[in-house]
Amino acid sequence: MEASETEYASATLLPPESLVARARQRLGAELRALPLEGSVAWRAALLSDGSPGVSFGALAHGVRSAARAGRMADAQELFVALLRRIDGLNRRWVASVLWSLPVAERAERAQDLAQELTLALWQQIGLRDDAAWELFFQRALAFTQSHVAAAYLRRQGLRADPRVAQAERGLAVVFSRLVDEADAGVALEGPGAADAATFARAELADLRALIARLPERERLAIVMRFWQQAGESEIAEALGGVTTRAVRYTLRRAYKRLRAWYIGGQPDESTLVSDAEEDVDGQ
Amino acid sequence: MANEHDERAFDLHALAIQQQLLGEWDAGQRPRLSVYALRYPEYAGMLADLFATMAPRTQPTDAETLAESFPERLWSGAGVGRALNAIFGDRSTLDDQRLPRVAEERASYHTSAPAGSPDSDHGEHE
Repeated sequence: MEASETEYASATLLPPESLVARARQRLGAELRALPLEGSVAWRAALLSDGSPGVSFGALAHGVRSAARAGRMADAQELFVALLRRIDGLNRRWVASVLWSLPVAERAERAQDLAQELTLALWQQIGLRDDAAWELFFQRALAFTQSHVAAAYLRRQGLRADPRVAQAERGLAVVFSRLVDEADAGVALEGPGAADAATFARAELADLRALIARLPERERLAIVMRFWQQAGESEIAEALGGVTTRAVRYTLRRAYKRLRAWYIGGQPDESTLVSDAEEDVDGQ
Repeated sequence: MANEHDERAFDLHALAIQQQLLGEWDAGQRPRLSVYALRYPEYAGMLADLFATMAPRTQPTDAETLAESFPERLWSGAGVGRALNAIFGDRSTLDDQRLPRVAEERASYHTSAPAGSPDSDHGEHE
């Protein structure tokens, strides 16, 4: 039996350890091409505004190297250069965290967030020994931004309760309809109501927060369905070769949980049938 | 899968997979979550969370449409300046000392109610 397209595409992806090794090789080559570490020429190369410029990882390496050697003036200069280089990323992050606040509050809170992030970045890059910043800078930055934002929102009392109190909220209706379709055995053809692209920004933020609470298999199925309009076969394959009937039950459980959370309650666990039970007879 | 040495350290494998996926996304390839979940099953949950943060195909990102209402530059602003002063101002050692946090220090430009007074407007923001 020939491998499916999904299996074929999956097989072309490298194992994680190979990805890490490749990143180390790339960084190593970049650092070896620089002038002698700690020299004036080395600092100039790191600070150069020329295109394409050194990678974020190389700059982070420079910050850590200078800090460890006690060259704090160099460390500060390189750290500020790094902040300048990532300013666009940080601005987009701040906007994504504070978008729902009144405009009058945004400027001050943006400065507060920037302060928090700067302190966290120095802790991570200047003072700790974690290769992540040199090998996968933007991912490490995204992770740190997420944690800084969550901590800030919590301390400031700005954290929104993702549950929606009013039953009239649009997404409660959407999930009710999806539960009905699942109960009726409607096959997954096209996006239908399960299309994240049709949701408003606030609804999408709510949905992301609630999806994060789902069990992993349901989360996987929901994201594939809502964000990529995956059909039953594709979802079944991704869930480990289960039947399409099991996919429908997995999605139905997820829809029921989400519907219950949207109307401010808890799902009735007795109605959530397990995959194992429903998959006994196969498709 | 998890880093055994320090729970604060990053999982390099997870970051590598994320970077590969986002590289494909930025190149316009639009990778399928199903493909990635099959290849890296132990990271399926993480991958689902990552895909959910990506804008659906017809929506611009929140950040792209809203960045105009935020400060033009953060790196030269008051917030970063305060942090840099705390980090480099009086430091003469490399001790990993506890650094000041926003909630513990009032900003010099703050003229509203003193610290500790409740602010009921911050209970909801949507």
